[in-house]
Amino acid sequence: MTQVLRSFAFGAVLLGLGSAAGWLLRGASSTSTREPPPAGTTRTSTPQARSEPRDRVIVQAVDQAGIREAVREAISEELAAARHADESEVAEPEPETVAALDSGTRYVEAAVVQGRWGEEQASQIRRLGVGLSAEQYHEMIRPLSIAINEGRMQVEVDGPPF
Amino acid sequence: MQYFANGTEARGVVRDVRFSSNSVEFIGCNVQHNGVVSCFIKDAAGTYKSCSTTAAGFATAAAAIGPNSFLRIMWNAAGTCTYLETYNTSIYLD
Repeated sequence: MTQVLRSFAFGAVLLGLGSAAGWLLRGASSTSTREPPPAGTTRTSTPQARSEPRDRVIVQAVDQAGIREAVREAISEELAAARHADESEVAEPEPETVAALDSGTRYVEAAVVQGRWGEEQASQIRRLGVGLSAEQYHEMIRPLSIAINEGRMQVEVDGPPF
Repeated sequence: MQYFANGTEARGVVRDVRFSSNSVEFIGCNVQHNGVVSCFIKDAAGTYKSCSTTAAGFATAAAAIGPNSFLRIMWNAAGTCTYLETYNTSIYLD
């Protein structure tokens, strides 16, 4: 979460810098003593002001659009990096669950080779599954379910086999 | 109980399957504390089918299963349940 907040702060700073840069460019290109028009407004061209105001307006529009785009891209990249960092932090499994999943997976594989699943196996797979997440348990028993459905297992359990 | 779709769908009324002329058939699902839902089917010939899932909604559907429920269960080749329907209606009451 702090990563996301940092990203928004960074984006706000970039927006501020972009606005300042646009204001400076408007000032640098101005040779007239008149007040510069507000950003985004159009001017009707008069014979006296034809060359200077038109050039000034074009330079102003390109720079502001470019700066806005650069700021948008920077914010987008920061947010994507922050999201990736958050997801990586959440996905790190505990060593104990990794070991439990490994044990359970090997137990299922051995049972599939044997071709038999009885009450003892049904109890043992549940013991091995304690502490696993739902997704981990699901992945652990998937080969067993496939073997059952393909007719490769003799299931001798009164209740649910897993 | 009936199988359909090349052995990837089964349906039947829980009570009717239980009291069928053979003592072999069954149909049902379990819900574990970790959120995994598994369903199991056995037909009159003794053919066993199973599937499991962690997808949202399955636990609710499985918890709604009662003795007079009509169940429709579908699964894929990867052993994952893809559909679970529990239908409770007066038609199946004694």
